[in-house]
Amino acid sequence: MTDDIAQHHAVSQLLFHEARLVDERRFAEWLDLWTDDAEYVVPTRHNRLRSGDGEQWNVDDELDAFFHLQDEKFQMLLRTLRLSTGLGWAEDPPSRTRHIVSNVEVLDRSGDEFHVHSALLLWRSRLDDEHPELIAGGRYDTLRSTADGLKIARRKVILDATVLPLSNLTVPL
Amino acid sequence: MTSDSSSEPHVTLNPRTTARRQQALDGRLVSAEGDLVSRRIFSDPEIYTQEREQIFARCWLFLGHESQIPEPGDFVTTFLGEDPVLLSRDRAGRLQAHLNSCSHRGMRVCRADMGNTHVFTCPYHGWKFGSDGRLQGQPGQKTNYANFDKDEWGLLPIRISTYAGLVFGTFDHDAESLENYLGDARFYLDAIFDRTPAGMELVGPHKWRARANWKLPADNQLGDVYHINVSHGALFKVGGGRYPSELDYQVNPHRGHGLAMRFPDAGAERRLLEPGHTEIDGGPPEDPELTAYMDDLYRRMVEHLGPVKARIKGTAMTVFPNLSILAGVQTLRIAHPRGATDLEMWSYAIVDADAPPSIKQKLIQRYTFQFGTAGILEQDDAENWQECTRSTRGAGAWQDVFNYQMGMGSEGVHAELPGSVSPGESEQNQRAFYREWSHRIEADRP
Repeated sequence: MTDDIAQHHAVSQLLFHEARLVDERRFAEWLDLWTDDAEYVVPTRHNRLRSGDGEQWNVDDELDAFFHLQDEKFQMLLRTLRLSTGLGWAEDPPSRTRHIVSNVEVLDRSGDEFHVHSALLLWRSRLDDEHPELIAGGRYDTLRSTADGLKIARRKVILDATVLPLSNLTVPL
Repeated sequence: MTSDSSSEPHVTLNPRTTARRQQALDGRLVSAEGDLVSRRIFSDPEIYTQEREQIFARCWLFLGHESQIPEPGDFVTTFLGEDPVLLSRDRAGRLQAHLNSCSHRGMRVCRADMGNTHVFTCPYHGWKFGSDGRLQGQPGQKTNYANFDKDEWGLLPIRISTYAGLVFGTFDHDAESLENYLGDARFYLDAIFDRTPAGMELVGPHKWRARANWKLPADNQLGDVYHINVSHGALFKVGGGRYPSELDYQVNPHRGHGLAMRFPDAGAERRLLEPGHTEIDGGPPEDPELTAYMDDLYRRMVEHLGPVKARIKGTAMTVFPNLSILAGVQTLRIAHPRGATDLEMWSYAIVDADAPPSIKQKLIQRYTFQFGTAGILEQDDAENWQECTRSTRGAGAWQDVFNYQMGMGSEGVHAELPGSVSPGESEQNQRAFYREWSHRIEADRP
């Protein structure tokens, strides 16, 4: 029980810390939280017939077909460098964001890896726009214990929108 | 004695500015040459109402691609402007398109994005329609309806026509043929969608909303070579170098359709033949498997298309009014209007239908990194289109115009390419787009 509490504390603290780094736009430090073999995907969602002539809808297929974002560490690095140029107009002047991370649940552990689910609510306020952008999703993360501490090795973000109510996806989810 | 404390600042206003811009329009929304365009057309709800009727209900609009619905019963739902559309393949394997709205009370008959079925049952009162749009029956048909002819009460049919696998539709059953509508744009569509005998397939789409007028993405993707080094400056700062705009041509093949592209000499620098902007943007390191595929693809394109069309590279194209294709980064997109100042972008990946799965995956991933919802190039475009739209909302802005005068007089011909051809950094295509727009919206104005 004590181990479980310590484990849950370590996992939650990593996710909360990560959220704060992004909201404070400390992107280089954020990138350091990911392993070198990191994978980060955000699948698109669909409305499907509940049933059709012989249609078998497998939600796992939906979540493994087409992605809003499909990055490895190299692409993640380019995105963070882009944000630091002062020329990435979609985030310059910078947006104000708040990542609300909740419902943290350690699903299972295998070896040095934890599988964790969390709920995310992202609020983005852009310029003086009267319509802040809001998007929610569930995140399935694989966290790995390394010599440098707990890191994020894989993230799949299951968004709850088919048409994103965002003009662009410019910050990590 | 009253004192007048108000005063105007002692600056000399340029008397030419406002007057000249207004006079040049001469009471119209678009000047005769298309080089001056009233800002009003990007935010006025009354003009948008006209566009709905005179453009979105009359033009041939993109509906889908045959690859999305290969089997009988396959369907996708989409839009013609703001009208919901059901695009299906019936039991006989024919393409069908109908208004996705029950002929009884208008409920959206199919609320799925895609699937396979031959029966669409309206959730409101249970009217049932086939994949051919015909009414198959409804509760109480025999007992409650006298002299009811169910053949008259199918879903509203939309006229459809295809070119190179692309399915277009129109509500105007008197419209000219799709071939006439596209004109010489077909030459350039061949180079993208008919580049091998197997053709292309659509994957996706990404869908997102932007608070922008639908014409701004169309106008940009007609071949706005001019914006690349500035709008996407962050990328060039990270990757080094700059976009070689001097290698581009802008081509206006027919009416409001336009494109920009590179047209390297046969056997020219191989890097120009690769997909995307990898040669300039610091993108993923060169991939031997993809390079070998692209080299082989070029050989197959020469065989299938001939040596001229095979050399057309990096095309950014808009088919009037709101279909755009960025062939170099493997994407096709449609900006569905959602009122005067909002749009819903649907952006698909396009890949060779017969490419190995690993190549398809690499091409899609490259597109996803550069364009689409989170694309590092697309992000900055959305910011521009939104802010351009926002700044046209006021009555003050309606006194002003947008300037499309770049490259006036640089239009010419090219021995190998149909249409009016100019250097890449030109706005001849935008001028042609707004002349076409004006022809459809203000033909009756003096």
